[in-house]
Amino acid sequence: MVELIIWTIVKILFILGFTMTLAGVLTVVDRRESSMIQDRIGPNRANLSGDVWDLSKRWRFLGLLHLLADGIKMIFKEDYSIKSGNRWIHTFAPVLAFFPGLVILSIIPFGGNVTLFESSTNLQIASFNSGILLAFAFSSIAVYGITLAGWSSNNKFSLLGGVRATSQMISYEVVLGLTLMGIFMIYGTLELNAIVQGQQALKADGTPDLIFGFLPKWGIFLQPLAMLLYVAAATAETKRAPFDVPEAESELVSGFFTEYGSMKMGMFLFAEYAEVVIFSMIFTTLFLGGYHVPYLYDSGFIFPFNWGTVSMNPTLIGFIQMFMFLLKTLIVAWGHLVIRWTLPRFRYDQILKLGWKMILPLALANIVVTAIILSII
Amino acid sequence: MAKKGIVVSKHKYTLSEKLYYPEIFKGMGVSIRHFFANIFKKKYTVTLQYPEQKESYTERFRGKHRLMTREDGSLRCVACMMCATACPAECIYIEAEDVGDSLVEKRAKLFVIDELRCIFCGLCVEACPTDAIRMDTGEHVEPEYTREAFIYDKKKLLQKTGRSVAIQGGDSDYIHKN
Ligand code: SF4
Ligand code: SF4
Repeated sequence: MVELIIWTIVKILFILGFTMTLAGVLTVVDRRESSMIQDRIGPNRANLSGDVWDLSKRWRFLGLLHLLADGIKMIFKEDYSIKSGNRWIHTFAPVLAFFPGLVILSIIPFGGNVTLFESSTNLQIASFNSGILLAFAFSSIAVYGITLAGWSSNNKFSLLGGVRATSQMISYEVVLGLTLMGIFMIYGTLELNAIVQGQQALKADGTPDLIFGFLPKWGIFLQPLAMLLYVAAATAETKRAPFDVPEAESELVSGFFTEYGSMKMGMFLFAEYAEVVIFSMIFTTLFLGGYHVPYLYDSGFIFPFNWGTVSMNPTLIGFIQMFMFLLKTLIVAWGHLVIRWTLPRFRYDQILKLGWKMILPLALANIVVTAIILSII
Repeated sequence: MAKKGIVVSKHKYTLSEKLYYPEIFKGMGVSIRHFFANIFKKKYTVTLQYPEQKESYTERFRGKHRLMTREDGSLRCVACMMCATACPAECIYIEAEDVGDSLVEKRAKLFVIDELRCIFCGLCVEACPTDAIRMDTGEHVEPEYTREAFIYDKKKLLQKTGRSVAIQGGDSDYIHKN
């Protein structure tokens, strides 16, 4: 029992620390990456060495110190509270937008089975059999934060942003669930760790279960259409470009958080990046084989085409798998930022049209085709 | 009479454009190409890191004023007020004093230019008969914290000084002959 509690606390601290750090770093990486894509240099001025006039002698750490500078600025800024509107809800809304997303972390398997100090555990905080449904439930609670923020600000632009967010997120929630249905049908479970196990399993006779003899059975290979649709729907859920109408700077000042300042606004911004990290984790789990390294099984590498096997220490494998999961998450998050800096914003009606008239029918068709194929095999 | 309008043809979308995803991947390809080209080599980036890297101005750039000196180090200005008269912004203030030299007669006791009022037209340089004032420093006026700091006195104007070998008051042989 004590063992379980200690493990759980360690796991919570680890995954929460990783998510927070990555989300924080992403705030800077987002700006630097966008500048690289747009042929600029981006923020690189914050430095630790003071005003050394020689550029190369400044300790600037690739501009990552701007994260620190931003944090200090946000915390010490005047915490302006509105004169009219509902001040209680106004203060509470950022919390509501930020924390529900973090609950999703509890169901994500971020590594296989590891053994440390003679006690072994699965690197997943909680294993619910309703699994991914919990993620959907909590990501829809985040809508409340945004809607309430827009409503309580007593500002037309905030209200418009809140209303847009509501309609966008509610319609994409439907789509989000349906796009993943094919995955659930193939792996026969909603539990994320079981899905990950299903993506790289051994057959009953101990040989690897591969497509065409070399591709692992990852979601991306079995459900490519679902993958594309899911990325679109999930991007809409994170409210980032091209689906950023709720905050549309050019139309709505900054949408639902127009009336926010200091760390409250910081929380909205931070929530956005935390959502990106969580999206990347779920995407990795469902489509990229989670923590699996291709051809690495519980006993070691088993290469296809009879290229031989390499056996390894199970604990080492556990840590390699954890590292792999974090690496995949990083790459997916990076790709997500690339999408954000490539596409222009959709018009409001185009977003709803895309969701209801295109993604929804395609997702349904995907389910039907998957069901037919599954029943044939 | 029937109105004549211009018929605008609608853009015909190709299949890959209608499907949307191929175009997104193409766009992402462009983004990623630029990202990697810029992150390692700054291939397309043209940004100048300003305070450390500067683009030099052209030779004819009219920058901060400076006062010139003679070979013996004294100020060339003879306080003739030509520059102050020519100045359209009226930002030059000169107080003259007697030198007791029959050739030069006067020199500037005070020579003040308000660089905030100055419009950098260069007329003062044109007007000066003794090549005492120049604007060829190649620097613009630096930002300051107070307005007073922009009022440059003789000391500040002499910081970038140089010797001018122009013959003061014209041909000296001519003066000595008469
Ligand atoms: S540059 Fe023009 S405005 Fe400035 S001091 Fe000379 S004459 Fe006056
Ligand atoms: S015109 Fe030349 S010599 Fe005359 S006062 Fe001005 S700077 Fe001095």
